[in-house]
Amino acid sequence: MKENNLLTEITIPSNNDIHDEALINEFANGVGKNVFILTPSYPFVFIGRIIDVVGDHVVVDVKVTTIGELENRNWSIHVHQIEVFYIEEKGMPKIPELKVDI
Amino acid sequence: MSYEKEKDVKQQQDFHEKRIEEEDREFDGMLRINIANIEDELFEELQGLVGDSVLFVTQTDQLNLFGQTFRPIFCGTIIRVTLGDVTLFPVNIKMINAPFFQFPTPLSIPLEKIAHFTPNFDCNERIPLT
Repeated sequence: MKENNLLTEITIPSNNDIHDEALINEFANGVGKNVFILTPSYPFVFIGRIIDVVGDHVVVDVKVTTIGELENRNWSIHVHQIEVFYIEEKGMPKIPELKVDI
Repeated sequence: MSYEKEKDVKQQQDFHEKRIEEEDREFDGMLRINIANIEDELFEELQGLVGDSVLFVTQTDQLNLFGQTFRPIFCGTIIRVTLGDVTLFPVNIKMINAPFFQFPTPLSIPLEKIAHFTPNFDCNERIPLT
């Protein structure tokens, strides 16, 4: 076989790992705060209070989602499945009291 | 594993050990593993864009907000960047029937969910979404 001089450079931890871990930290720092989460998977929206972070899942006491039957229970949400979110901060707008009236 | 291969592996290991003795963390040849200088260029670039108006598109095909499906196209001013996410406020979601819908709160996008972004984008610009 011919000498292969192609070089693959790896950095450990990789940028992807750093971003993934930092995202978990964001949620860990937000325990006790209200959160708004959009995911591409059903039921798409979660609004509630962050209770805990377990591994790379965030546990949310969900008050509002698209489906009434799925509200008022704890949901464990995979952090890396979240597409967009907002953890309520002091001095920033509050998450509106969204209610579904369909 | 054939004897020849074993020999190869052994040689490689010996070689590797020798390299470590020389306080060199590099594999010879195919692979270089860097555990010393971690640089997050994307993070630094985004930090340089704080205060700028940026258009972000994220990975998924579509999102759903209380019955409204929309493409994940967000335009807004970057107010905060962490190693895990970028926060926009004010932020405009480009919905098909409401292209200038202003979301009432800031929105954070995980860096790993960003599919692409373009800086210095005028959020009032009309863009076809199909």
